[in-house]
Amino acid sequence: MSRFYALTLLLLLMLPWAASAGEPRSGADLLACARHNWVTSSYHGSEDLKVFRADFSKEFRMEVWSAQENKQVMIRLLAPAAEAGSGYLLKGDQLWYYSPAAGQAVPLPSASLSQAFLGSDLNLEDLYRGTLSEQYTVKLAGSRKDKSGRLIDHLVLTPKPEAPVVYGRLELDLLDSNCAVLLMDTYDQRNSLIRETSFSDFVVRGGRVIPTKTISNDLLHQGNYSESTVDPSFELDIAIPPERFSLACLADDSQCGSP
Amino acid sequence: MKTVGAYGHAPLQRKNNVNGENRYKMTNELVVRTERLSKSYVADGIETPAVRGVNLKIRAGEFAALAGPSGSGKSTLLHLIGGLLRPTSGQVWIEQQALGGLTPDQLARLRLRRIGFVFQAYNLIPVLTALENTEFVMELQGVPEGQRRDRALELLSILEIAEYADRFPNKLSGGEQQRVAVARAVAARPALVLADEPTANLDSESGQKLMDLLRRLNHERGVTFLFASHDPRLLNQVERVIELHDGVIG
Amino acid sequence: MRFSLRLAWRNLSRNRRRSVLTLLAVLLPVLILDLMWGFSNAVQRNLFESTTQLETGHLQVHRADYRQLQTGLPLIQNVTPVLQIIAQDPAIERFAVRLDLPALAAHGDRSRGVLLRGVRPGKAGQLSALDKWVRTGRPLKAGDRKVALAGSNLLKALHLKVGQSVILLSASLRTGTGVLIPKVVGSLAPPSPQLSRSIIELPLADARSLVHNPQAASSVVVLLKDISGPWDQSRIEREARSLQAKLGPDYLVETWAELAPATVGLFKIIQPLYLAFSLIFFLLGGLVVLNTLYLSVLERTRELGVVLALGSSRRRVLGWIEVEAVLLAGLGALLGSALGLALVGWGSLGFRLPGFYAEFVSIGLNNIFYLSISPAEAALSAGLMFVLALTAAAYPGWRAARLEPVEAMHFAG
Ligand SMILES: Nc1ncnc2c1ncn2[C@@H]1O[C@H](COP(=O)(O)OP(=O)(O)OP(=O)(O)O)[C@@H](O)[C@H]1O
Ligand SMILES: [Mg+2]
Repeated sequence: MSRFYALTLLLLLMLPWAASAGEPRSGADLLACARHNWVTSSYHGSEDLKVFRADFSKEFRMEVWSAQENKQVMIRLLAPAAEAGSGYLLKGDQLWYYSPAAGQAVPLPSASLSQAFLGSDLNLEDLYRGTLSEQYTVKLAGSRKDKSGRLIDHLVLTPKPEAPVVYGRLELDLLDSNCAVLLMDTYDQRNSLIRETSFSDFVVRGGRVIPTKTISNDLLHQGNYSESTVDPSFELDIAIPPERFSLACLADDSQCGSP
Repeated sequence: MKTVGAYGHAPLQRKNNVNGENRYKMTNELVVRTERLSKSYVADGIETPAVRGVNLKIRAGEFAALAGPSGSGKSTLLHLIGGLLRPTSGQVWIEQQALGGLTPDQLARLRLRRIGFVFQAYNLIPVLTALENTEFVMELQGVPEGQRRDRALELLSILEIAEYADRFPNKLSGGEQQRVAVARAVAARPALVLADEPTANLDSESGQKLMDLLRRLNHERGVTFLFASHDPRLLNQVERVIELHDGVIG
Repeated sequence: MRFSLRLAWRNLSRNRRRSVLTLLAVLLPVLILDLMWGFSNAVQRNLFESTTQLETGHLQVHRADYRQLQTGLPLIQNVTPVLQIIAQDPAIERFAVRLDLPALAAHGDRSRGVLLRGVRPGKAGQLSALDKWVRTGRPLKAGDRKVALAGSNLLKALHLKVGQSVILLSASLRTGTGVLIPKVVGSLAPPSPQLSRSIIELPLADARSLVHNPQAASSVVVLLKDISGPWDQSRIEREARSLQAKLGPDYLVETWAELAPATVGLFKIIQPLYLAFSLIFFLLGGLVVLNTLYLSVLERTRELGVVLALGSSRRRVLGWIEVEAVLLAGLGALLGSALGLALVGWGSLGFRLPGFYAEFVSIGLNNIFYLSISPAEAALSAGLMFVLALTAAAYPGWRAARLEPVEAMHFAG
């Protein structure tokens, strides 16, 4: 499920590439560098999502395919048993859901994008905001050394005055050496911290530094958090047949072509 | 009000001793006394003297009239004596009571107890019957209802209008109306009845009749009358004529 | 006093037209106020009933944390103990179990977020059943399964017709995903267009199958005995506290006022509005009384002069005028009350305002009004007008008492 965090982040990173070599790196440069870690033409992997509530927790397992820089995404739920076989298909800004009980793919209204995905601390809304990056002004707010002596850069992303953005501010900590994002803090319009997301267990694959563990804390609701783990066996930049992102495939695995 | 209450109804309590004789004639008891009484009206900044330096005495049982041409001050003098107007200077006494020091309410009490009024016209309360009009002042005085009724009916029959007792004023002739007004004034047993032109609106026959009746009341009951009039028929009937010219007794 | 009364009565009958006018000036405001208050109460009762009977009940029981819970459904997992307590409460007239669920309705290539309302069809569910809004098709029946009624605007949005099936999806973290494909047997036309775009009514058992829990409920809706309008709020609140004490901290008992703040807000608009109108009527009535009594004093100036000359005290004259005012105001207030109460009594049987169906329905009213007026309100309208008329009479009375007898007698009026 870290794929979703990745997607979220990716949108933040879609800033105009403005780095010029040799000069000290600006906030925009750093963000662009971080973005490089995430830009994949395609992706295939399996993930675990654990959702924790004060009195309750639930674990999902799913398989995810994406292509065209996440413009096409297919999610197939494998567990729990009650949800197994259902899935989501995302194409551009359209979303479908399939449940074996319904027996057909159901188009989801755009409103469902802003609702909690599978009840987790995430919603799909941000995924479709392709222009999100243009809505923010990036600033390098400072750098520091962490306990193990690594240089950490701190970026502050503030919405441009007229931007239609629900958040008040985003703050990122990333490793100066490889632009791996370690922490993302989300603030609301009143400038209080509402969500804390941390990234860890990085894997280097094809020149990209990719976190396999993401923990997101809902600070508004005590005890609400979600943890997602990507199986390290994921593949990047592979060829995925276009049928994979079809309604036929969503409803019937035999229609998906060979991976 | 002790000054007013002190008068009582003493002179009229002796009614049963009368036997047609006017026992009250020429008592020395003064009912009215005025001293250098003057009244000027001020209208639009112009001062009109209406009564000037009048010294006048009316004894109990008198049957007197103020006479004089129109505008000579008769009504004004009568109103001053009745406590309806305040003099510009001078003083009025009603049975030894000086009016000058009394409040409007005290004056009203005095009028109610001691003075009866008969005006030229529009005398009666239109929504009350002849009998009720006659009872009106007694009602204000607090005379009990039965007594009130008896006295009113008695007077109405003396004044020969008992048969109209239940008529409303607009169903009575001018002379009948004036007789009801007289009945009302006398029924309250005042020391003095002031009557301003009581015959002015009446034909000569009615006027004559009214004067006869008033004369009878004066004789039989000793009621003191002071008229204001220039009606010769009236002036012929009274015992004393007080001439008034330009506000001066002459 | 009897004399004064007779005098006043005769004076009033002397100028009949004016007295009748004054009488009307007192009578009409009282009558209009009684009717207006009766109607205001009818509107309030109407709003109250359409809110409480179909929507909120007088009281509702939820899970204690239902307002804080943002994710997952705020369901009472097992409603049976709650129902046992409610069934034993003597103040409760009836109650119904509801299962309200946010869900997705899909048909063909369209879908919409909807509100599912699971109710027990038939008598037990009366409190929640949306039978009153059924426009086409049929209401739910006892024993129905896999059928639903949907708001007519929703049917339009989904290109769905009565007789076709609709896919209902419900998903929550706790209950997982539920799918149901009922047949639409009727359309609903609720007052609010927004509700018409989102409401789907289905049997409670079906709604429970969507959350995989045969004991679940989102709320228990309670109607209390002998409640007729928002004026009974203190009793409703008392009962809420008592029920809350019995149910304990796991549940939250709320009154209709907490559940429908918009309706309460509407009352807050209506009441001052009616108050303003009432004030205007009172003032107009007062002015007419003042005017007519003043004229009648003016007309009698000469006569009052004679009365004052004869030795009547000023207090006495003032008293006569006041007695007249008391007679007029008392009679007017009495007649106005009698007429007003008769009309309100007639209107209490219920009546429809022709031609306003859509306007009323759009603000959540039923086009049938039951007038009512409380004894206190009736007494207030009559009493206030009476006092106002007496106050208005004070000025002419004062004028009369202040007349100078000689001048008054010479008055040419
Ligand atoms: N209210 C008043 N204001 C001003 N002047 C007045 C007033 N009343 C009377 N007068 C004047 O005072 C004078 C006396 O008037 P009064 O009425 O006493 O006369 P009168 O002898 O009664 O006359 P009449 O026989 O016409 O009734 C007159 O010149 C009159 O114009
Ligand atoms: Mg005169």
